[in-house]
Amino acid sequence: MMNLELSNEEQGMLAGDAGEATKLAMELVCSFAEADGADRLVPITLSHIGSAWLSGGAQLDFVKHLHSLGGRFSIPTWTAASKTCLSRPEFDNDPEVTRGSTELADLLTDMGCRPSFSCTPYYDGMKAGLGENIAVTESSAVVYLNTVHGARTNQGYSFIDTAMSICGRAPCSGLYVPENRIGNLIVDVSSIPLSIRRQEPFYHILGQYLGRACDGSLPVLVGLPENISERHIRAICASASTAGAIRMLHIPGVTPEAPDLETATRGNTCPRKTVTLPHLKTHRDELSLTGPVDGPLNAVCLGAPQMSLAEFDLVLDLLGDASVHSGLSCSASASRSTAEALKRTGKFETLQSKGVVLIPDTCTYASSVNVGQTGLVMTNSAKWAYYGPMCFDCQVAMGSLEECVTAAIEGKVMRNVDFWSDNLWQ
Amino acid sequence: MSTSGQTISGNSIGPHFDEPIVGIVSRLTEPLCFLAVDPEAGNIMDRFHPQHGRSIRDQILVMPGSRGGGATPDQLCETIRLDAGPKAIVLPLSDAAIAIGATVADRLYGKSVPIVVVDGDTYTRIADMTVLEIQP
Repeated sequence: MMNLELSNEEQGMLAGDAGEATKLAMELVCSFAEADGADRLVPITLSHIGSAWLSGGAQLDFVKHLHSLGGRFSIPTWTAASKTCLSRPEFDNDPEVTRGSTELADLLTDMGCRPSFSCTPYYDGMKAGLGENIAVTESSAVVYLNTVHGARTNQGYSFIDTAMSICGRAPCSGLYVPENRIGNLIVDVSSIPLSIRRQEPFYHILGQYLGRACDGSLPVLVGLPENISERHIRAICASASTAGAIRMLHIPGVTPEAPDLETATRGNTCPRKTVTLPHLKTHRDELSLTGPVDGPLNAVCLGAPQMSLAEFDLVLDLLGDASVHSGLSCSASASRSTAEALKRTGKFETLQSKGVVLIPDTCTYASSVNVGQTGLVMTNSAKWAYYGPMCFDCQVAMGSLEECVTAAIEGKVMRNVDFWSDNLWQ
Repeated sequence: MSTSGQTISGNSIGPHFDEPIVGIVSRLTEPLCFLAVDPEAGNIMDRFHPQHGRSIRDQILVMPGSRGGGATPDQLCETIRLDAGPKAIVLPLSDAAIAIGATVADRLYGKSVPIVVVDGDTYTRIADMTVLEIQP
C-alpha cells in the first residue's frame, strides 16, 4: 500500500522512466519511507555511503545487481571506509576479504562514486552547508555533519544509502524535519575541573558517556571551554555515535544551529544532567586501562575517524628528530585523498621514514587489517578503544595524540598519570 | 487488524506474502543487533543479550526491534542468504531497517521473510505463545 505523496518526477522514476536500477532504488526508498512513517520524500544533494565495507556476500550481491541494471549515482557520492587497505594490500590479512573488497570498490567506482574510502568526507571535498539535505551512513560523520555543518541527515543504513544515492531521494523523516533537530537534554560539564576539560581524552570519554547514558537524545552541551577545537568536537561526535544512538549535538555559541541555549532548545524545558567526574569514570574505564600501565607497548594506532592533514602535521611536530621505537608498530589511518596530499608534500615519506605507517582506505580496528594490533595497544581514539578489543586480542590504553606519539618514541605507555589515576575521579 | 487465538495479522512492511505463515515462536525480550547474530548458524552471539546463544533460524521472531548502527539491513539479509534467517518477524513498532533487509533478501534471492507490525495488545497477547499463524 503506497501512502506516499510523490512528485511527478518521483512517480516517473518508480514507473521506470529513468531505467531499471533507478526503479528498484525508488521501490526500496519508498518502502523504507513508508516503514519509517514518512509521508513524502526529500531530494538529497550529496551522500556518503557505507556500501564499500564488505560486510558479507549480500552486500556484494546487492551492488552487483544494481550495477548490472545500469545503476549510476545521480548525486556526488563519497564512500566510507573499505574493510581492507585497498591501496596497500600488504597490510591485509584475509585474501577473500581483499578480493571481495576490491570487486566492490571497482563496481561502486564504475557507478560513479568518489572512491574516497573515508570516514571524514568533510575533509575530502564534501561541502555540505547549513540546511542542506544529504545522506550519510558512517555514524561519526552523521553526527559531525549535522552538528558542525548544520547539514541534515539521518543515520544511514546499508542497501538504502546506495538506493538513495541512485535516485537522489530520502524519506522526509527524522533530522530532515526541523522540529526534530531541537535539543532535548542539557548536558552540563561546567563543574568538571578545567584541567580535565582541556585534555583531548576528556572529549572522547564525554562522547562515550553521551552514547551510554544519554542514548537516543539530542544533547545540548554546556560548560565546554571557550574556543573548543574542531578536533575535540569531532572526538565527541565519533565516540558518542559509537557508544549509542546519538545523531546530533548542539554546542551553544559554537555550532551553527545553536547561537545560544534558547535557540538550541527552542525555549522548551529540558531535563538537565550535571556531569561530574564520578559519572564519567565508569565510561573512562570502559574504554581504557587506567593508572600507570607497565609492560611492553606493542602498537600505537592513531585515528578513528581517520586523521586530518592538521593532525598529521601535529604528529610530525611531536616527532621532531625522533623516530618510532624499534619493534613497535605505529600506524595512522587516513582517507585516500589525505594520503595522496601527504605524498605530494613529501610528508608521507617523512612519516614512513620515522616509522609511522600510513594506512589509507580503512580502519585499523578491522580484523582484516594487520598492523600488529595485539597485546598492549595505545590509541588516541575512543572509537578504536571501543571496537579494537572486539576484533583483536588486545588491551587498550587511551591517551591524547601527544601522549600516543611520545609513547611510540619511548616504546612504553607515557601519559598524564593524574588524568588516568583514580584520585581525581572519585 | 483482527486477531484471535494463535492467528494474527498486522501491517506488512517487508516482502509481500500471500500464504499464511505458521511457525514456532522465539520471543526476544530486548532489541537485537543483527551484527551480533552469526550469519551462518543464526545464533545470537551478543553475550549481554538475554537470549544469548539462541538460534533465530526458522523461528517466528517476536521482538521489540533492532538496534545498532547502519548494518542491520545487510546483516539480516546475509543471515537469510545463508539460510539461517527467521521464518518471519513480528514487531510492536515499525522498523524500517529490518524491513529493508528482508525486502532486499526477497528481491535478490527469492527468500521471503515477512515482517509484520502488530498493535500493542496483540504483541502482549502473543508474548507467551509457542506457535503462531500469521495471516497475510
